[in-house]
Amino acid sequence: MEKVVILGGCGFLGAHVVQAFTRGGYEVQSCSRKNGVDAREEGSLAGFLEKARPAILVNCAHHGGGIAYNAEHSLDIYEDNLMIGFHVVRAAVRSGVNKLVNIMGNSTYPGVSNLYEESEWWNGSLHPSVMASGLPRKAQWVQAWAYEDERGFCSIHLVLPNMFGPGDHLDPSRSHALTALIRKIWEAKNTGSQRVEIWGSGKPVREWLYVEDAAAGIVRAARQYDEMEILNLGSGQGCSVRELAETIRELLGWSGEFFYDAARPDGAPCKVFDVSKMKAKLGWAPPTELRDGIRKTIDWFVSTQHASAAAH
Amino acid sequence: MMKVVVLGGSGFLGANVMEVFRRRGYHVDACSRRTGVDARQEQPLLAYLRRTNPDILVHCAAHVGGIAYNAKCPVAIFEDNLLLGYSILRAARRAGIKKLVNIMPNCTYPGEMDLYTESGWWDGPMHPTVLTYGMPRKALWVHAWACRQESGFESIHLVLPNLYGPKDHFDVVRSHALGALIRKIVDAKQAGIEEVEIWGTGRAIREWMYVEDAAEGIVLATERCNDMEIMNLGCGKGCSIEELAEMIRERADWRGRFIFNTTKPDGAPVKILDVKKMNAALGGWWPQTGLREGIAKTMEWYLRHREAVPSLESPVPVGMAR
Repeated sequence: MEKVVILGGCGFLGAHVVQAFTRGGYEVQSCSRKNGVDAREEGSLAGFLEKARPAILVNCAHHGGGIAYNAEHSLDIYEDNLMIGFHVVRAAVRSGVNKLVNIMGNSTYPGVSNLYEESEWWNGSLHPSVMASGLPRKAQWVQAWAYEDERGFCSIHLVLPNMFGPGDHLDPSRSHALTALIRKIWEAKNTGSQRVEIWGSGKPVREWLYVEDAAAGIVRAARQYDEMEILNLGSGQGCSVRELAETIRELLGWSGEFFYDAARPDGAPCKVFDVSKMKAKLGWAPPTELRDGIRKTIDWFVSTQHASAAAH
Repeated sequence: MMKVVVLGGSGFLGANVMEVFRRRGYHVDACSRRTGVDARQEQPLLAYLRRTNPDILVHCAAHVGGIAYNAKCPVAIFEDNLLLGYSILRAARRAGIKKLVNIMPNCTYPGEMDLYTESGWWDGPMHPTVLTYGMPRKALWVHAWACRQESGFESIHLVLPNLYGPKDHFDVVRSHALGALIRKIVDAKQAGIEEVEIWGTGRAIREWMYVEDAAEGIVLATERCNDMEIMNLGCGKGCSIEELAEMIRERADWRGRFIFNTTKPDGAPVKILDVKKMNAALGGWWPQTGLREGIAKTMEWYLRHREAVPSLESPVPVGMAR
């Protein structure tokens, strides 16, 4: 049985990736700070991998959050992600990993692109709101490229859009925008408030990938894709923050109004993936409809709130 | 008196930068592996900076070579330069440096561009032959940007073309094309050899800046600039490898012929810096040394120091990757 180590396996995406590989018949081990491994430090991850000896290493570890969190912590985000990326590649090579599966965010694409095509990945500067988290991943790609060139090291690099689904960060400053929206609207409904404020104009269009689909796609790519060139993994469909808010309002059955605080930054105006390469290489597309995914996420979110209310 | 530390101050460019700062009345220290500081590690560098307490830190340190060297050791080049940049930024912030002057090569520009204008710096992939050297320098710029967001940290970032001049690397593996050409042609003349092999087609166009001019421009920019957007520092003119070889042949009075080995890579086809921004920022300053004059000075130096230049064997790279 092939062994897989998931770095960041206790995180939002990582936990789903652990499950997807387990279902796929792999022997899976999670590795994160909760296991005492700090990937930012030389030796820490290498020591873990020397013992675990996986055939495949999946890197889901990163330091980041929403726009506000990123703006306040850009230096820590840059330094942590640069060191994580650096040591992940080195440790993977040294411990004899056969394949590194590197997961990156869409923040690695140029800020002005509308349609994210793989061939455009290097063509433009990153959006300032995500520069500190995006640039280290591109540096890591170059490092992996150097190892391929010099020693034939195999790595693949998957670029994913924003994700949502059960298991997201509950801390509002760290959760993804979709979960944050669910929380706000749910809280408004519970307190009888008729007003929810949304940061930004509500116009930015984003692609939302259901986290279980993301995990399934990563397992497929680990099996079927062997090229160093990046591969998009997404639905290829965009949705504005406004549309998203309306869908959540409807599914939660809240009747209040949204107020858009246009003084807050929007981030990049549009981020949608071209997924034609993914379809060709993997013969696959994410099966979950956005509305179904949101419904499942709401069910999960509400259950966590009931659980925490019961605990108090 | 303002204090300056030059990282890589024992190197080809660094030594010249030291000299110009000194002439202008700064107190200058060199920091390099030769002075016992490995800047890839934050702690020794920070200890050094706390001890010397400079106002200005100039970063000329690099692990770099020509196309052949880059192709041979991409991992060490990437990792050394990435760690250098990372620890320099961290140590500079912690030591309270007032201004970081970051010197970058033109290979940080997209490989497909002809005229390198500052606004196009991010607009395309770097040429694969220099990717592992260029990427860490771009990462360093983003690091400095994040430091500025965090605490207003001041830095300037200057992009330079190929440099040449006395004390260049003259060994064939790590040398840039001009130093390697001088060596091959002068040696051929002395040995009575009739053929000199040149890597590539000879058509690649490069900009060559005399190292003393580069050093002068760096000091001037340090005094006058404080914007963290990158600025080119160059002559804005290019010359093909073949033209360069002809100039050196003429000066060396060698009558042999050149064999262009087209199985070897050319690198990017054209690299010329747009120097409009530099002209405006440095009040009309211009690199003084013409190419023929600079080549003559460089050849003169090489003829005097030939014996001391290391032999043609490959040097052992100084990477930390082993």
